[in-house]
Order: sequence, then structure tokens, then C-alpha cells
Amino acid sequence: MTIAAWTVIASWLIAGAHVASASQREVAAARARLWAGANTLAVLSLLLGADGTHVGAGLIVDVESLSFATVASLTTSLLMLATSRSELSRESAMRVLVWTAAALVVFFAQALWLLALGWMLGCIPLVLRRDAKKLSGMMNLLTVGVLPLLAAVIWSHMVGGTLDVRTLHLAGGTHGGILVLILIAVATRLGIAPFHGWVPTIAANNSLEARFLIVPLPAAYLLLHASAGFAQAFQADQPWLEGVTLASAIYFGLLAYARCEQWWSALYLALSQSSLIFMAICATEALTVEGGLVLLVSEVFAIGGLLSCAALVRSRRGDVGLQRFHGLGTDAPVLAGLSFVFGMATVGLPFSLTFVAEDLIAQGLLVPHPMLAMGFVAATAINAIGMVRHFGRTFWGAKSPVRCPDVRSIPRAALTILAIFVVIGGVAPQVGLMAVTGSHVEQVMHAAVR
Amino acid sequence: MGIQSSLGAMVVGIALTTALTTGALFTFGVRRESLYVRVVRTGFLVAFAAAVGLCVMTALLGPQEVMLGTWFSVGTHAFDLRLAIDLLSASLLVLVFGACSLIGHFSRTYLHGESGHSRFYFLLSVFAFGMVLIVSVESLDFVFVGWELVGITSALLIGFFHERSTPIRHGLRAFATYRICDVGFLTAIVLLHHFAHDANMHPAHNVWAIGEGLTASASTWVAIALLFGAMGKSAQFPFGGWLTRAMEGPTPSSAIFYGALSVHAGVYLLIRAAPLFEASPTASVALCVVGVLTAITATLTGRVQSDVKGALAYATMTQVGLMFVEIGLHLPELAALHLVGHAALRTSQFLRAPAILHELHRVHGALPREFSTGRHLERVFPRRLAEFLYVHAIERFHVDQFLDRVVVRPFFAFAGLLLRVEHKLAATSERHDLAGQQTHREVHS
Repeated sequence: MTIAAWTVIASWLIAGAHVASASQREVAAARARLWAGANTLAVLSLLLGADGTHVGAGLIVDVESLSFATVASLTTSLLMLATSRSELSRESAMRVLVWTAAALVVFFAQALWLLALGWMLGCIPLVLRRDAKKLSGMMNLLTVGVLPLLAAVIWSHMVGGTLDVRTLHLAGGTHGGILVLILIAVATRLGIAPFHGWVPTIAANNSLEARFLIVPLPAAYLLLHASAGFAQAFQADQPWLEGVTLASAIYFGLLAYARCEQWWSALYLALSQSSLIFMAICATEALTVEGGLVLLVSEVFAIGGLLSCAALVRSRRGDVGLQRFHGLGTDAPVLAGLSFVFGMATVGLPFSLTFVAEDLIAQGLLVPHPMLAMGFVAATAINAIGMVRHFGRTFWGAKSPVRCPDVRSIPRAALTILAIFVVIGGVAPQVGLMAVTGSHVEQVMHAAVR
Repeated sequence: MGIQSSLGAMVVGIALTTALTTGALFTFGVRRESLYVRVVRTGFLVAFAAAVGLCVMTALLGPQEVMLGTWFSVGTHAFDLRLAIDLLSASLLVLVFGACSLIGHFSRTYLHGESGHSRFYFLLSVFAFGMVLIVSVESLDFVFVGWELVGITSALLIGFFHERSTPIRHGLRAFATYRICDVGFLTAIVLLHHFAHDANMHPAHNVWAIGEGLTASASTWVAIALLFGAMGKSAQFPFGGWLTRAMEGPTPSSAIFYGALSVHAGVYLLIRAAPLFEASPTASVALCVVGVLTAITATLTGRVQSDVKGALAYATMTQVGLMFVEIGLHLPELAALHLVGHAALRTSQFLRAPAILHELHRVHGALPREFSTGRHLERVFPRRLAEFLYVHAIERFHVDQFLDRVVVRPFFAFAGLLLRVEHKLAATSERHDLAGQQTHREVHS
């Protein structure tokens, strides 16, 4: 099983190399989509055939790691299909494929150093850019998002603790410092304020990469394990962690109002929701951690879909300003409908998976942290109003004289599948919840109780 | 399963099925008007019959709890769909389906040929399902689900004519008001769970009782949070500005939302929470003050409206304000009667509004002499005071301007300030700077 996992990781990397060697843009796009689909099927087949925990060759393969890998692979495939051809350049497709391989290394890694390697691998393709102007933002990601994690690994090695990701254990007295380093790396990858300096740089130019980087899977995975491994230090830091993440959620929610362009507004709303995931996991209550995990899965699909729709609008009409109504819904009703579903799913309309997650988080918070629960409620309200404003200004209003073509059949199918996941997950969430309950969450809960 | 349970399940099931069917038709691009009308009319009429049966059975057999299932559960936390069937909820179910059937029938011809015909029927059926949840489920957690569905459908129907910017602006304003006040509702749920470890409205659970976890001060806070939540949906002072703006929607939606049902959702919630207000004099006083202020400002403003739907909207606000006062005076039964009677009357008035001039001419023609059209204030107050009140009523007592100045503008100014902070924090690009300047201009304009 571990060899199969390595094969899948290698396959994603080979896909990146194969796409990079394509002579034409169209060929690269076709290759990227085919590779992504085939690799997703491979990961899915591993998940379906999973039995127990397999350890070896530096990897640990079980239902939990395979579930994360499947969600990441599926997201890559669907978002790649949902991306317009103009956006899917050879370089961006290669970067996304390598990012997925790196994410899989993070999920399967048994040792913390291998996880850190995968973590770094996911960032490097972004730094290797021709555009020197953008380098500062990329370096920001690399230095603040990667170096603290590497420092944490080296420090852990020096103090001689267990570096197994699943059973992190260190000598007393060092937990706090190492945890802070890990949290800085996680917060940077999740784009939590004030560690989000790299986000505007990536988002300004290539929305495809932004979509993948903001999907918070690897960061949330590491956060979960860190919260379990360093439970005591985590609980000591808990109040300020929760406060910072809630403030970050509200900060991004307000920025979504201040920004004039629909792409940026959607991006900040996505970042705000990502902050809530961090907050939920940091609360280390049974319900909040489960809610955080459900929110993670929900937001991966919903944010991915929302940003894809925003990028499709951007690729058709440039930066659409939110100062006035654009009426794009008349020309592109399917795109408008999908944007509405993803937007509402992102902010937790009833019968979406996010609603279930937010209910669990609120229920988990309200007894031990009622003030935090109220702040959480306020943050979701701010985001909901921002999302409806974002949608209304973009898709409602008098028909624009400049035509906006509707979404084509392949992206439409991909986005519809994403939307179905979000809606079905919300209407019948019990299956997903059972999967979450049986996994690492209980370990986190027990660690927190200890 | 007893007959009450079966009827309760049937009512919820039909509402859900109707919403899902119209949703599926809408999603798959079916736009045949007659199909939507048939689905909605059949569904609502059957549900209406079931609701009448439920009402009769409840009057005969007494209240009952009906467990329909669990939406999801984790550990000890379960999101149960449990109905609390008593005479109040059963009669409101009759009202919901009676009004929805009527509106479904009326809209067949009223919206015939409109491009949003199918959208209207889809939203109407989602709204009906939301209302069913509000009036029949016993957990406040699940009431909030219905509350949200009603809010979003209301905003979407206000912006029904989405090719014009005014209805959309008004729809967004209504949604923003709802969501701001929903913070109060959610806070009440949080507080209830925190203090009483339950958010169940059914009298059998006794969640509102002092001493069962709720202290006197806690019950005051819960009651005030609930009041804040209800003020948005029921358009009470100072959040009532959205209601007249909501008249931009098609007349049938105005009738069902702002005449019959949606605007009364807050009243229903407060009737359910009446024991809480009885235990808390502070909250009762706050409720009466809000109701009285709304009733006075709305009745004065309604008198200077030049359009019939605006006048009806203010008349609705006045009556709902009086219902708040009735609950504050610990007369929830009276408020419930008032609610049902007012909903029926106002629906009829809204539906007749488009033909009001025609009817007026007919009445004038039938009468031997002109009849008086108002001037009530001059009879009660001195002329100068009446003029003063009229002048301020035209400006809606400057409430909206005040809220804009005190809440909306500072909010956007603060957001603009954060954006400037963001420039300092984040690696900025040229495009980013430009956007910031635009926002700055927008905020300051």
C-alpha cells in the first residue's frame, strides 16, 4: 500500500514534468486534465481498497490520509476542468500538479521531516517565476510559511523527541516554542492575518494558483496533528489563538466589503472562512474539531467552486467592479446559478455542508466559550451579507452591453459535480460525519482532555 | 404513529417535496408555467387539507410532539427534526398553506408571461417550507433553518425584477437587516444552550422557566436577544426601513411576505417566548417601547404615503408594533389572534392593491356623496403639531438617515481603513493600490 502511495505521488510529479514539456498550450491543458483524472482515480481506488494502517517506506497509509488525498486529488481534477483554457497555461498547470503531489506527501508522511519536505515542495514551484516583481510575495511565503516548519523539525530532532506525525512527542519544556513555529507555518499557508502577505501577489496575477493555495487542506492536516501531539502547549496558547483567528476572519470579512472587484471580494471571503476553520480546530472541543473538519471539506469544494466562478467572470470581463450592478446573470445564467450555490454554501446557507459545520462549531463553542461563539456568529453574518452583495452586484442589474458568454460544457459539468457534493453533503451530512468521527478527531479530543 | 403524527409528517413532507420538485424543474431549465402552477397548487392544497385536519385533531386531542428523524448527530449533539404540534402551530400551518395556496392561484394570471414566473414559484415553495419549519418545529436551532430560508427567499423576491438596480439594492438592504438581526437570534440560541442546556420551545421542556438553569438576569438577556432577532424580520423600529423598500417586489410576494406571513414570524417567535418576557420586566418594557415607537412612527408615516403599497406596508408595521405591545403586556393569546386576523386582512388588501383605483371609482360611483379621506391628525392634535408630525413623517422620522450616519457609513469607513492597513501589511501590487483608492473614493462619496 505504501509503495502504491509513492507511485501515486510520483505519478503526479511525472504529470507535472509531462505537462511542462508540452509544446503548445492546448496540449498542456489536455495532458494536465487527463493526468489529473487518472491520478484521482488511482487515489480513489486506494481509498476504496484501504484496510487498516500500512506503515513503511516513510509513509503511513490509512483511511484518514487517503481521505485527505482523495479530496485534494478530486479538487485538483475538478478545478482544472472548471478552469478556462486561457488560464490553464503550461506553467500554471505544472505548478498545480506539483502542488498536488506535495500535498499528498504531506498527508502520507510518517515523519515530520518528510511532511516538511512535502510542505516545501508545494511552495517551490510558486517561487520559481520569471516575473521578478512578484518575487517578494513568493519569498514571503517561502520564508514565513516554510522556514519555521523546517526550524521546528530541526529543533524537535535536537531535543530528541518522537517525530512521527501521528504520535508527536517531545521532551518537556520545548513544546511551546516548537508549536509556535508550526503554527506560524500553518497560519501562513492558510493565509491567516497577519501572515497572508503572499496572497495578494499570487491572487493578483494567476487566479488558478490562488485557488489551489487557498484550499486549506495541507495546512489543516498539519494543524490537526500538531493540536493532538502538542495538546498541553496547544491548550496553553488556545485563548490567543482563537482570538487571533476570529479577528482574522472578521478582518477579511470587512476587507471583502472594502474591495471593489468581485474577484478580490470573493478571495477575501474565502480567506475569512479559512480563518474560521483554524479557529474551530484551535478550540479543541470535540464538536468544534469535528465542525472544523466538516467545514474544511465543505470549504474545499465551496471555496474552490466560488473562486472558479469568480475566475471565469474575470477571464471573460476582466476585473468586475462592485461599485455598480453588472447584470451578468442575463447572459450567463448557469454561471450565476453556480456562483449563487457556491457563495451560499461558502457562508452556510441551510442545507449546505457549511451550515452543518457552522452549527457544530457554534454548539461546541457555546458552553466553554460563549463570547467566542457570539464572535463566530457575527463573523458568519458579516460574510453572508458580503457574499450576497458580491453576487448581486456581479450578476444582477441591467443587461450589460458587453456580452459575457456563459460557462462552457466541460467547466459546467465540473462545477456542477462540485455543487452536488456541497448540496448533497448538506442535505445528508451523516455519512461524512461518521467518517470524520471515526478518524483522527477522537485522538485530538482525547489528547485535549488529557 | 398516531393520526396527528401522520398529519404533521405529511404537512412537512409535502412542503419539502413541493420545494424540491419546483427546484428540480427550475434547475433543469423547465419553464412551462402551467407545470409550476399545477405542482404548487396541488402541493399546497393537499398540505392545507392536512393542516386543517391537524388543527381539528389537535383541538380534540391536545398538543403532541412528533419526532420525524434526525438530520445529523455527532456524539451527544443531535439535530432532531421534532415537531411541536399545538393549537397555535396547527392554526398557523393552516394560515401558511391557506395564504400560499391563494397566492399560488393569484400569481398564475398576475405573473403570466413574466420572465421570472418559474423563479417566483420556486421561491414561493421554498418560502412555504421555511415557514412550516418556523411554525412547527420545537427546537430553536431548527427554527433558525426556516428563518434563514425565509430571509433569503424574501431578499430574492424583493430583487425579483433584477434588471433594475433599485429592487436589487432594496433586496440587499433587506437581507443585510435580516442578517444583522439574526445575530440577536443566534445569540439567544447560544445563551439558551449555555444557561439552560437546551433550546427547545415546547412548553413540556420548560426551557424558559427561571430556576431550570436560566437565572433572572440570563432570561432578560435571552429575551432581549430574541427581541433583537424578531425586530429585523418584523420590521420594527429602527429596522423597519426595509419593509417599504420591499414593495419593489411583485405584488403577490408583498402579500405573502409582508402582509401575511414573513413579517409575523418575529411575532410568532415572541409569542413562543412569552414566558421569558413574563419573567423579565426589563425585557417586557423594552418590547413595549419598541412596539409603541414602531406603531406611532409607522402610522404617521403611513398617512403621508402616496402609493397604496407603501401605505399598506406602514399599516402592517403599525399592527405588528401593536402585537409586540400585546406580548409585552403579557397577552400572547391576544397577539396570536391579532396575528391571524391581521394576516388575513392584509393579504386581501395587498392582493386588491393593483386594482384599488378601479374599486375606488366604483365605490365613489355607488355612493351618493364624497366620503372623508383621512385628516385624522388635525382632529386630534393642534394644527401646528400635526404639520410638524407630517413634515417629519415624510422623512420617515430620519431613522434611515440616522442609521446610515451612525452604522453604515462608519462601517464602510472602518472597512476602508482596514484596506489601507492591508496595503501596509500585504505585498501590494499596482492593481491592489488602484482598488484601494477606488474604495476610498466610494466610501467617502
